[in-house]
Amino acid sequence: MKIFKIFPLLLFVAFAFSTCDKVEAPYQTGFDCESGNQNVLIEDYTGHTCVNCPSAAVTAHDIKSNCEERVIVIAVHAGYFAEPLEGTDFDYDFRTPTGNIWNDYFGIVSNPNGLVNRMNNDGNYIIPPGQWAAEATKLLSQNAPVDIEINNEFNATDNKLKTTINANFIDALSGNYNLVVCITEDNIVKAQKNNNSSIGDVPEILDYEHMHVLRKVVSQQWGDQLFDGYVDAFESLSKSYEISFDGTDWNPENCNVVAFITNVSDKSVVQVNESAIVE
Amino acid sequence: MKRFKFIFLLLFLLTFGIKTVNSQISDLINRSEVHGSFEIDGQYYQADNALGITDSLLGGRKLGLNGFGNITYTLGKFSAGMRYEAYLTPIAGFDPALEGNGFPYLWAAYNDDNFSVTVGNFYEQFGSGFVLRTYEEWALGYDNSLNGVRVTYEPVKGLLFKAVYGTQRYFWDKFEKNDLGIVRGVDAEMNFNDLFKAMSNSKFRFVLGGSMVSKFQVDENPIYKLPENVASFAGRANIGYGKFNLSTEYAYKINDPSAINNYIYKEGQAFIASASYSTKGLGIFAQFKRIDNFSFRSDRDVTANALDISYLPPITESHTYALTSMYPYATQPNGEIGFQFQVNYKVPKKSKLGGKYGMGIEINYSQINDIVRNKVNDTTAINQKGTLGYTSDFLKFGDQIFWRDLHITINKKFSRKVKGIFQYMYQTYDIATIEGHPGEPEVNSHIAVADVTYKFTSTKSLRMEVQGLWTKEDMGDWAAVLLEYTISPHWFFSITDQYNYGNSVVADQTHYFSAAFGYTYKTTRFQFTYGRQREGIVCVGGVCRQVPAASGLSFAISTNF
Repeated sequence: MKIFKIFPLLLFVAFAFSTCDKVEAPYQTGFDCESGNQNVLIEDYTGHTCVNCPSAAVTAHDIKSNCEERVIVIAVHAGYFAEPLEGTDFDYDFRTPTGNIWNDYFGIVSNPNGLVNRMNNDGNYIIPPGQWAAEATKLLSQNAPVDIEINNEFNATDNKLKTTINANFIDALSGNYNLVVCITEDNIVKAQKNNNSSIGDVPEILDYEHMHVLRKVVSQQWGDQLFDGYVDAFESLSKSYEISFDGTDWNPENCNVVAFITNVSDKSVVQVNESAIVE
Repeated sequence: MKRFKFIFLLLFLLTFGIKTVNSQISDLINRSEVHGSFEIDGQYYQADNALGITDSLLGGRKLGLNGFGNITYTLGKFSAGMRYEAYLTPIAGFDPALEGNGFPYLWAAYNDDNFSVTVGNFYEQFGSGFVLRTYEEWALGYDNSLNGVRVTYEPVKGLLFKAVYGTQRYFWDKFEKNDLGIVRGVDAEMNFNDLFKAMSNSKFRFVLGGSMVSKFQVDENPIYKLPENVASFAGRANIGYGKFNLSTEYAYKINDPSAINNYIYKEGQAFIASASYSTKGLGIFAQFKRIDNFSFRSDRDVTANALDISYLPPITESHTYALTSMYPYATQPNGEIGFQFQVNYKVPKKSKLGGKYGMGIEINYSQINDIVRNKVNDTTAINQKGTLGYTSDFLKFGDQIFWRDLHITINKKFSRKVKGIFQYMYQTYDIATIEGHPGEPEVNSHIAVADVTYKFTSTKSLRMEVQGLWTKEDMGDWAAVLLEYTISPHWFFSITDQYNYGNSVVADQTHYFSAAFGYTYKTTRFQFTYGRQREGIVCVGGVCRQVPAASGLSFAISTNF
């Protein structure tokens, strides 16, 4: 009977020592960036008056810094928090027509939120920042049937970029696929609202460095057709675009071309790559 | 003859058997008890240009409806129950994730003299709730019930053990492997006055308790090493002597990086102490609380109002008048330190101040500040993701005041027909932190309330509230009036207006009119309200939800048996 009475106490002590994981520094592990060739596109839907967005940008940056060129980030400024506020430090308009269309189509109603390779779960594409890393790591270890090669030639004299995108197929692929080509820009110093003091001033960082900002979608909004049918392994398909930087405030030194191939049926990204305009 | 005997025997057995079964069914029905409660809250929305509510904003969703039905069946030591809920669509201000209907709460329990077991959904609280409190709050649309098993065991009177194991409710999501965290907890409590005969009649009362709760959630994060088992421990004591009482609890949680704390690895701590003294006509109450990085949820990535394992009890008074509750305090799980002090005094009858009926006076002061945070080293920013975050001195108050409330309430009966409640309040409210509006200045307001009731007859009375809120910040000054006529025990009729006359934007100097009536019959109550509802925050126990401005008809029907 005594044993019966002290049994709960023994259970209590055993439980206390078995259900506790104290993590010691260093707290960061590394991604497995070696296996697989599937690159990852993180679309960070953001806005300059969204106070939680700098934290999400840090999350995206952390993921990218682990696997560098295998993770590509596009910061899509769209929606309520991206609206310019005239007469304030937030009067700059980061929005793009295609960014707004994507924002509406994917049903982004609050920021920060994002997409990872435009994967969807029963039609829901939105993945909160806390889950980007987990989704990215699942994809990084997979093998994509195609690689993307980007060749940029920027002519400073006429302020024009010629970009050639080669899709080099590793495996045969059938279906209907589009190629989306975008220009993004890093290091744009403008105001940003913020509530994370570990990132910068709260509530506003007036000299915030905006990274990966979507500037223009050069192709059609859902991409130009790459092929509809069958492509054999080791074949290559190519598309070229010419973009003038005239009339823009883009700094070519900070700009990149991001190209990704999507499956037309569900918008999912098959492969993505990025290349600086000026090396 | 043999055949006749057989038929006779068969008839005898059938008659006897049916009688026995009938008797058993009758006995079963007599010993069974069924109880239940139902509630339906609805809101019909209409466009209202003054509030910025247009038909396109409503988007065709003109009716919101929240409802539940709760049934409990008891048969001796066995009991079982269920709750049906419907949010079709949720009333504006409730989490859209609630949309749907079904049975989120199903349970069965067996309660023996010193042992009980519950399977299915259940609510439980250890101590003050620091390490575990699951509960349902209909006004918030909040339910973090556990779905699993609970066992309680009382080997001797005064010694109680509890153990729980399960997953928490997350709106309508069904638990799937590695989807949500799993909660495990044990609690032990010793009541020395019950346990030891020598203390059974003692003026000295002593209760000691301890808990441990752990959650398991898989680590799928490739960047950070996240603890899959996060444990929290708490110890509590309740000491009483005569008219004095002191209750206190301290809780500690190991590293628990989460979306709420910006994924820092600092340990969490929570402490509360409440002391009280009461004697005839006088009550004194004091509280101190400190919270440091103590958000504890069964999913580290969730930021919505859901999946809390811990409950951080508020130490600010919960106000009920329209303007005194305009800026309610929401507990800050990442860090807060504060105190509350209250004196209640009843001025005796037939004294100069008390008059014929006496007078109640309540003075209450509460203040909550941020905690002090220091850098862990020169190269790490305070609260930097993936670090220890910060260090903090236990008893130091930070400079930032989240909340300050000084109020004086006088409760006075003037005659057999007239009585009144009068309140003055001075409040400081850090709207930037509490409502998440960085950059907005703190709101300092003076609030006054007069609540007078005139009794015409023993069943008919008229109550009038006049309120004013004066502030230079946020939406500026407000005035509110309410007239309520009651015919006891069945009817009430009321009209009210809240007027934001001091809004610096003239177009926003809006009247929020509404009219309501209600009818109560035994345990059933109907209420209808037509008019405007101002934007604001509703808090229960320091947990809050935002309420958008609305216009239209709302109704509530509730009953229980």
